[in-house]
Amino acid sequence: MTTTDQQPAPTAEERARFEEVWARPRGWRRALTSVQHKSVGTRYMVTAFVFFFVGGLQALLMRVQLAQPEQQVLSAQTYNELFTMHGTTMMFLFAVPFLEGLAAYLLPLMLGARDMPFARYNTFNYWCYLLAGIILYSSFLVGMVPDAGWFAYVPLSGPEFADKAMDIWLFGLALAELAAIGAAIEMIVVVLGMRAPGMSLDRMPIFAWTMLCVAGMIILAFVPLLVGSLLLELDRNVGTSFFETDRGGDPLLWQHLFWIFGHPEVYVMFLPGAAIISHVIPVHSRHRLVGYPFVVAAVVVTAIMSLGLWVHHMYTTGLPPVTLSFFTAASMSISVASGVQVVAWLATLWSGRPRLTVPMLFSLGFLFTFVAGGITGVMVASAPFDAQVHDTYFVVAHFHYVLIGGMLFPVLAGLFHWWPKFTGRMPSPRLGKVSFWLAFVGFHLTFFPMHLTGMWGMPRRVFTYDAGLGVGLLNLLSTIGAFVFATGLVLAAITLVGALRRGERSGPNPWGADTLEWAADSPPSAPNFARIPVVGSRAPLWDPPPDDPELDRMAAAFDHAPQNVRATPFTTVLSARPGTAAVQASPSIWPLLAAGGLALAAVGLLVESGWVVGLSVLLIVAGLVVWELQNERELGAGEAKEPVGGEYLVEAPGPRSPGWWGATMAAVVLVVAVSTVAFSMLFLQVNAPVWPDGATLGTPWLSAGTGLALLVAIAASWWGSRQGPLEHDATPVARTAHLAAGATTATAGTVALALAVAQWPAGGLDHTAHAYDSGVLMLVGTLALATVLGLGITVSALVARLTHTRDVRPRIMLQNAAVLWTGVLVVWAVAWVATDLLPTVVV
Amino acid sequence: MAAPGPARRRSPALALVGVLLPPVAWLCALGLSYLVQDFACTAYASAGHSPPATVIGAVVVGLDVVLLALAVSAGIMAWRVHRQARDTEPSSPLGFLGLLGLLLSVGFGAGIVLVAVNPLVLEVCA
Amino acid sequence: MIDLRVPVMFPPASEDASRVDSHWQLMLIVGSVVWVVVVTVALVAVLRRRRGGGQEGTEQTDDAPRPTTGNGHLVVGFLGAVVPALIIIGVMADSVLVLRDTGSASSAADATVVEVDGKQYWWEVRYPEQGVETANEIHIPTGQDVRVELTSTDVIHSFWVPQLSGKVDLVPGETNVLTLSADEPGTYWGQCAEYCGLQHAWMRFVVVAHDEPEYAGWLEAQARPAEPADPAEGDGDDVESGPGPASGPVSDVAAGREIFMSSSCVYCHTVAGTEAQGTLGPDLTHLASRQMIGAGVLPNDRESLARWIEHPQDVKPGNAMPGTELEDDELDDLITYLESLE
Repeated sequence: MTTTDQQPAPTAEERARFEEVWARPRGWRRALTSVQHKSVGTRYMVTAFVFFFVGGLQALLMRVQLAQPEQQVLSAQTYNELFTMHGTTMMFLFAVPFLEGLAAYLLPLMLGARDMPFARYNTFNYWCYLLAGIILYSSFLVGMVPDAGWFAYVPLSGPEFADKAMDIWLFGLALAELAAIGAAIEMIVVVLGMRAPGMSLDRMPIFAWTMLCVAGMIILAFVPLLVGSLLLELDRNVGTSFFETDRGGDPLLWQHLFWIFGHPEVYVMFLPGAAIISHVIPVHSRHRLVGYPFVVAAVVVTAIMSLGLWVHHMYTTGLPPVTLSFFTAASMSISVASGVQVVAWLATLWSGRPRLTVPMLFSLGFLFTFVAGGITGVMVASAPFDAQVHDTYFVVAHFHYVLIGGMLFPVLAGLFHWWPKFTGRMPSPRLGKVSFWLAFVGFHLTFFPMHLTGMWGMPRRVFTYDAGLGVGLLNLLSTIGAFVFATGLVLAAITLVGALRRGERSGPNPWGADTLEWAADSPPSAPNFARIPVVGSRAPLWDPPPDDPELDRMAAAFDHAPQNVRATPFTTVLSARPGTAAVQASPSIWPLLAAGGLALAAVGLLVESGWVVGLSVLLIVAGLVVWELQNERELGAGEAKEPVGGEYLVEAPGPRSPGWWGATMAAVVLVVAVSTVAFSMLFLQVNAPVWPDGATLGTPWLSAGTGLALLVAIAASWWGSRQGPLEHDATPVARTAHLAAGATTATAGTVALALAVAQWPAGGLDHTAHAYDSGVLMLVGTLALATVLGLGITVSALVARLTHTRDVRPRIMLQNAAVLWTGVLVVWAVAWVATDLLPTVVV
Repeated sequence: MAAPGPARRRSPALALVGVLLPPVAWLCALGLSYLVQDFACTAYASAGHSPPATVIGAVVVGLDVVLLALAVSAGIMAWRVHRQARDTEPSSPLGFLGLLGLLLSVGFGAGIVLVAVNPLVLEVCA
Repeated sequence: MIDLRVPVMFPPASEDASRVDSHWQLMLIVGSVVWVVVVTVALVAVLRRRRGGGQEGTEQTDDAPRPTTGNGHLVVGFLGAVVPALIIIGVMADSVLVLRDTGSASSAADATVVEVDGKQYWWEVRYPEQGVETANEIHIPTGQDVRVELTSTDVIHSFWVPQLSGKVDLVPGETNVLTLSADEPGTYWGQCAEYCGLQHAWMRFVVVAHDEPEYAGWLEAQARPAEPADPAEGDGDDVESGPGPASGPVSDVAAGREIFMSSSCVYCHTVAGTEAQGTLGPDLTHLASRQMIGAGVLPNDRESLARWIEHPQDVKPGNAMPGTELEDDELDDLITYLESLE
């Protein structure tokens, strides 16, 4: 990447100022205020691995109990708590957060960006996740450990059969889901908008394609679980009736909501694993990935189809055969997509010159294990066969093959592959290989026999089994294997951690790899790339740089620049042509305050203390307000108004800056949430034996008034977003117009909120009487919450107007408000359809 | 992209439709097949009537056929975008998106067929 | 403990189970072939052109990365998509056919109906047409379809007899139907397969298949109320018709009956034909005819009964039965009475 243009090289003083603006905070501040994607990604990954080893310890204890039939090492209660926490930990506190952390660390580096799009929000999500884990594990301290399984089927998890441990579980889960949804928004925006100039969609690394798809899945799948856990919490503590048969609810609704999340979740874990393999195999065979377009298509097909498989977890709930068969078809179709990926890897291995490095060994271990898991996956996709092995150890074997084979082995491959990038040191290949063989052999020794134990009749989630079942020896093998496996994993951890001190220095690109992260230092400097790379192919480090003056101009403009604010290029979605400059956040402690407030709210609700809840609301509001003030103050005072290099606007409206994308994603999340509630009500209405005949909320005037007020809010903020000039040096003229627009929007929003909330008392429904009434309460609540969010962004726009002299930032904020208010209007419409239209239309 | 003609300006939109339509069609095929069949049969059963299974089955298969046609035409469109881009602007991502759309159309089209055969083989309201 | 069998899932003992078993065999063979092919190709690919062993990470671009040739796409498209799709279509077709043959529950209209009610952690079994009620034991005639109607009164359970059929969940508020049949007489064990709480592991049951005449005899015996224990208290003529229980003199039975009726047992248990009409726990009318107690946690013998009555919370913590404190001889009499309930 040579400089081919006339821009002068940055002076030493400019370099120093650039480094100053990107400087990491020091000392205790670093721990609490750093928002840079590498710190956040590292924290995610380290925290996740701590939870992984805790979850692993739980698994070992369970294996000891099961080593022989009818043992009493653990009590039934302890065993049930352990398997509940093992599943919960591995899914919610290890796998998903680890991959979010890996993405937070790698995506900006791979794409040639300097940070995640909303770095403080990124940090906020990490804090939420950490606090979620702490809340879940505090259950051990207070002696109320959740014991209803990680799937928490009602009624066992409902008000009648589960104690407060379940509330701890639900609150911890909700906080972790919130973090995952936030991480998904980050990933979508970074992949779509922050790629290096020239990295068009067809040149994007597979990992970026995958995380884009995964983020979409998270939004479509995790929101329903968040809604589901809220419904269950309401059933448990407010007396609603979503899952109680006597009052129009249905316990199967929980299963639908849980598995609409739960199945995509499996692919949320596997797809990034596969993407890691799609990077490791080409690099360690020195051959480009064969069939790139096929692999991308396979990833998209897998992501979409994974949203339509959930019923295959419910084959035994008494659904009619045709329904089962629809989902058998879908479940089997998805395996073809995995077949494409497997053949692409095989073809790459075949065409290249593979080396048996540690990452390659783990990749092969992945291949052998995952393919076996995929084959048993096709088997359990068949409804009649699944009826046999469902909820037995066969399924336990199957999904550990898929998850450990498809996620953990790739993650270890990735850690050994990227460790030199993360730390600048090479982990010992010798120890790495020993750890691989221990883990690989131990894994298969543990889980292969489980196929047989399951076939021969051992159900899952049993704390012991009858000696007459004849599976004692198999279980003993599994237990021995588990300890071998654990030894391998501990050794892998020792190898990696030991390399921090003793590893050889690696240099920027020890493997001779092809993607942009290997162009950065090892470990990467704070801004990753002082000069932004330009991209002309899928393997930018293997091919000569593109000859494209337009791209080089952008790279030169961002060479050690800008120096007054953190910023990175923002490029167009399809072709990654030069666009604008996206401002990136500097260190801040306020995200921690806001996240802490949320966690405190959970604690307050758990201990049923109004004071604590009140205090937490104060903390949340204070955290968010100060956070927003800091944003605006920095943007306004930093004088980041000169376009970078004289050409790339620092703030631009519409999809040319990250904010618009963020607002759009937030609107999508709201719409998915309200649709989930609406579909739940439709489901209950069709399945309930008694449904209030033609019952509607019946407040047409209030409802219409809410819609009208929302329309006014949209119109006012949209009008305001078109006032004033965009040019950085134009005289600001629109202060009054923006204030008027903001105030009108805020007033209309407040009216909408008041009218929406008034629907509940006016409708005269009793949420404890029937599931329909409960659903109406939920919908009114969702609409109110959406309106509050709209008000929040409107207030932010007003704050922006008051803190900025230029017109650009308030314009952008009002535009974001208009986008979000449009989402709120859709929420209103869906809510009305569910409360008033469906009950009369569907008989 | 200097001076895009009207045809070229349209092709990014066409390419995106080619990529997005097949997945949507498949999700609709699966979702609607399930909703129509399960909800209709359940609704008739809980109202105490025997459900018109043949009609329900025909509606499901009909829906699937329409969605299959949509997915296939999206694929054809994507293929044309691919050919055009390959000939006129080989460096743009449109050629890739066109190919991606075609692959998705084939994949999801096959998926729709697998869903649609079920009501033909199995009893619709069992 | 393992007897050497081919990895059949279980020895199938009914027509449906055999059908599913052959479906499994097909998938096992196809799947194994696919796995072996993938692994072989990967191993050959890695081993045939392995670049020098030894140190990693240090060497550099002695060998430049190689470009993709055009037919790579064709290979991936054909071997990766078309071949798996064909395999999947085959497996799917077999699956749909098996589902058609085994899935529909509503086979014969005149089939025997058994109602099974899942409870934490035992199974209530009723034969509504014959007025028989029992627990944790289902008796069926061989060679006939029996319609098992499943529901639950507390949480979700799942009904599974591995050798006879797939599992079906018991969902509160709903009735699911399972068709059960057995080709040969015998005892087939079953178990709850959906996690249902503390003692999910000990929620077992047995299905006993009899020849038609034997089955009829069993039904008739079960339909009778409990034998009066003492002629003096009985209704008169129907005195100890069968051979007396092997377990002790009639007077002990009477004493035990007295203890039973005067203790808290009666609040939860029914013994048909007596004043014990509790419904929380299993019906004990023909307790002595059953193979196990505590839903499979103990065999049904005197020693186990004693443990169960005195310390049910030690044997199976979390079940609904409280412990009972009795003098040794009282316990002995009580068990003698229970053993007489054939």
